[in-house]
Amino acid sequence: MHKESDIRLPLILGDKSYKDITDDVIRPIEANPPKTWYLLLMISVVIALWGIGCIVYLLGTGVGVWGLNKTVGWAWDITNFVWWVGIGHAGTLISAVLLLFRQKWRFAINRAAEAMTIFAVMMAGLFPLIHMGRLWLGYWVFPLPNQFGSLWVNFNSPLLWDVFAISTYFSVSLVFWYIGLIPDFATIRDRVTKPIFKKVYRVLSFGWTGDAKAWNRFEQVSLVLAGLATPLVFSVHSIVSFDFATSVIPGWHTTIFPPYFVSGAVFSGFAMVQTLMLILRKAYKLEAYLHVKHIEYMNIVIIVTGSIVGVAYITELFVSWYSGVEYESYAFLNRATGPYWWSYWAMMTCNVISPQLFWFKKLRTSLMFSFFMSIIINIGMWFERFVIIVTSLHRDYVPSSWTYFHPTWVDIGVYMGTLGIFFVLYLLFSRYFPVLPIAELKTILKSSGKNYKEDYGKGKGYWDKHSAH
Amino acid sequence: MNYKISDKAKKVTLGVAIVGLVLLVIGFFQQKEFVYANKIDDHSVEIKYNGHADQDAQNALKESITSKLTGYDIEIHDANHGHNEHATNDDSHGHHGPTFLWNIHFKHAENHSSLIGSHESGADILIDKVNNGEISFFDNGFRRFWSNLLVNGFFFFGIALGALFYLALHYATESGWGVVLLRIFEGIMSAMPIGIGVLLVVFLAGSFGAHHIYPWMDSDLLDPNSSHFDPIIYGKKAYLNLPFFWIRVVAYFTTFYLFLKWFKKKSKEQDEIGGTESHFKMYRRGALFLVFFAVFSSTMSWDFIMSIDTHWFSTLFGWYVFSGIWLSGMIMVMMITLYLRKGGFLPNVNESHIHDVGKWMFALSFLWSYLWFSQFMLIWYSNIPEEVIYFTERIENYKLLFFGTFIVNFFFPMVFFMSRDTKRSAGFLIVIGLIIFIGHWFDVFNMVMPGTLFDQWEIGLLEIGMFLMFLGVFVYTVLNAISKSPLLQKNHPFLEESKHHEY
Repeated sequence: MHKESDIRLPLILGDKSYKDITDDVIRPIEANPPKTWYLLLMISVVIALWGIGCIVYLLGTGVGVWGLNKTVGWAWDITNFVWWVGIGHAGTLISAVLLLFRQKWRFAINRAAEAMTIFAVMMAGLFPLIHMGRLWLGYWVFPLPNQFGSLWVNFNSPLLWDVFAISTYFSVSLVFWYIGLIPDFATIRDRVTKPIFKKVYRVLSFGWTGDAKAWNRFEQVSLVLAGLATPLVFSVHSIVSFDFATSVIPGWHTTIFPPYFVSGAVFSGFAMVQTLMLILRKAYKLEAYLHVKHIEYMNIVIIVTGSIVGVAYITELFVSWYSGVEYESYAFLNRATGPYWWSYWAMMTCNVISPQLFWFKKLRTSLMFSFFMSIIINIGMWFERFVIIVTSLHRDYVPSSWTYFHPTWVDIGVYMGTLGIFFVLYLLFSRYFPVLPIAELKTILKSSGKNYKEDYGKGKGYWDKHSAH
Repeated sequence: MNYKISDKAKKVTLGVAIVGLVLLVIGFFQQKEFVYANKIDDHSVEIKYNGHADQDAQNALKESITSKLTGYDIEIHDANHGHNEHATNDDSHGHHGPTFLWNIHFKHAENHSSLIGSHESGADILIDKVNNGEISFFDNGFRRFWSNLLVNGFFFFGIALGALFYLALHYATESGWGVVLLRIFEGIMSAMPIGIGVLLVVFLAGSFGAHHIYPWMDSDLLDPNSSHFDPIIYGKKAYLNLPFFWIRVVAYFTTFYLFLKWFKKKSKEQDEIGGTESHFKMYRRGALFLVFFAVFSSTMSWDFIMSIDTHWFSTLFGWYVFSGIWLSGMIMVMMITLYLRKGGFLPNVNESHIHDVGKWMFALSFLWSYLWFSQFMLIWYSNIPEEVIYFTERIENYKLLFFGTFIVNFFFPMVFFMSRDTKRSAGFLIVIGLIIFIGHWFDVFNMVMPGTLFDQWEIGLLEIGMFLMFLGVFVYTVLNAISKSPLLQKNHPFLEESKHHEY
């Protein structure tokens, strides 16, 4: 067993046993959900239906119902796409990259974050599909041999690379998530009493036996998938950034885009995880497994990725001047001082300046403040994509076609609708799936559980003598 | 356990350095300034030169042409009467007409070539001799020497900085596994003054006009009344000017050096007093270092490297250089660790530690390749003239080195370090590690040379010698620094985790 230093804070608080872990995680599945759950589900369903209505109206009428104009040919559609893909980065980063880095605290958040990833990527994928205007021809994005004439995908286009990258990412994330769920489904299968539940969980658990050989394979597959998923985390958002950076549009064409988009994606993803987990831990009484230390770790990831994004913003701004290319300089000057100055400064405030407050230990360990900041960052990262996309387009090379973009009610409706669908899926997940990885939590109980930490509570352990640093 | 640098290690490292120095000295006196030859027809060749050469040097070159073309009856005509005044003009930039332009005429070329039994015409022979530098000037500007000094100074500075960065990262992330290796990181970063010193010499020499590596240091280009005025460089004057450059250089080097000293002092202090006080101080100071490093690593690579190609710009450049620095540092850590472990000085370092450093080499190679590709692909794809020129020059004149570096630094680690076993095998780690180590030296070479030597680069005694000299001195300094303190931070709070590290 791995040795763990005294000075590391315990990851599982309270006097928990293996059975307690199972009980605590499965309790919400066995019990009847509270009224708030139904209420939230209702609200989400209504918003989702409204969004679906907007999509149907869009498909029936045409993409012209969006606020796009001849200069701004891409606006909320692609902004929302990139925003959702970005959010969909945290889950796999947590499960793959943090697994490779052996971060044990990830067990408090990985299951829910992976679910979030999958739902977010689904929402992202919706936007390019409806943008085509003809949803039923969506499969044309794949290079399928066909007899439609000379119809073939353009392999030179980063938009096509996106199709491959996102579908690969989605598949691997889904498999990764599901493999992790199998032992936990089996645990539920063995406990629940309702016959219908028993049947469903039996199917879901794929006949998991829990013998040594199964565990061995489980561990191996997890590691292999983590190895596969890590480059995917990089590739997806890099390729999303290629959608812009391969072009010759000032403000879009800049080489820092790939790593900076990846960092921004992790930043926004963690903010969303923070938003969701802070609610979940309270609602499901999981405070022992997801406590202040976990929140602090997530806030540290947020401050690091937020600062990387900040360095990238400033680098772009500086190099636009340094390049001596007047179009480049103008694009950035226009962002900061042009008609969209408010969105630029919203982005700067939310993404670069406000996360720096997390340098204060008091703030990064405050749950209320973390929740508030996570919302701010979600907003800021939406604005980042809006700034990149709309402010670079709205004033092109021909001043006579300079315009201002106004979203229509359909733009807003579709976006709100994806939020609705996302929350419907997430609420269903939190009701029927184990929101914490039961089996994996048990692996750290004896090394990082408070009651198991050496001499803890007997006056000899480090934290008995020192207050938190 | 204390490490004492053995006589053999001393002999080998210093021996390598001395061999390097000898080669360097020989190479130093072979630096050439190339002339350009252009074939007009089988009987005549045009020879052009843009740099600085007085009448004596020109006469010497004419004599050397005559003597190297024995058997040919040649005539040299000066075709550049209008520009003759430039021959004595003290300027080696050549933004104007050539210093001289000769027409070399071969009389009865065919007769003579059949006489000496060659299939080539005299014109072709002359062109060959010009292109391979046999007919050339001695380079009084020592461009190759200064450029190599910059390459090696930066590369070995980067290794030390990479080690310092990782040490700070290790503290800031509260990592446990690598504690038994920390003294090796400390040793490597202790060699930073070598790089700092050499870079300072290069920058000082540039500031006083001893070399022209940084075009923006040349006041002639910034003078709107000068015939060499460069409006693009002029536009960057607010950032690229000597006083501000020196302020930045001093800021980088003092910051890095002070952090380095501080980390070493604290870790020694912790050895003596124990407790966790100094650990938490280092944890916080590590995070602070990362903040400085986040800004400085980018601006530093713009200042030291990107500004050589003053017109060119790339926002990713800083991060790309950083990935190379980090990786080179990791390879050095691996090599020193393997060496010390073989000598039995690291009883606590087990295969899992080696494996983990190997994983870093693997992962950072991917990071570097990812950034290399991102920068290259985006510029290549967009094909905007002012950006793509950077790669056009490299592909035209450095094709093998440019693509070779990428292939070696990407495919070798990918193929050979994919498997778990190779990351635990000293043999693989040393051989592949050395190959990519040299690969990353060439990466720096590719960043510097096309902007300073253009198509006139060489890999000769000068390059090999200087690299060996730096390598020898660097490794000796590192081993010497390691021998100054115990190899184990005995009071590190995560020491037990590291000792029992198994994965």
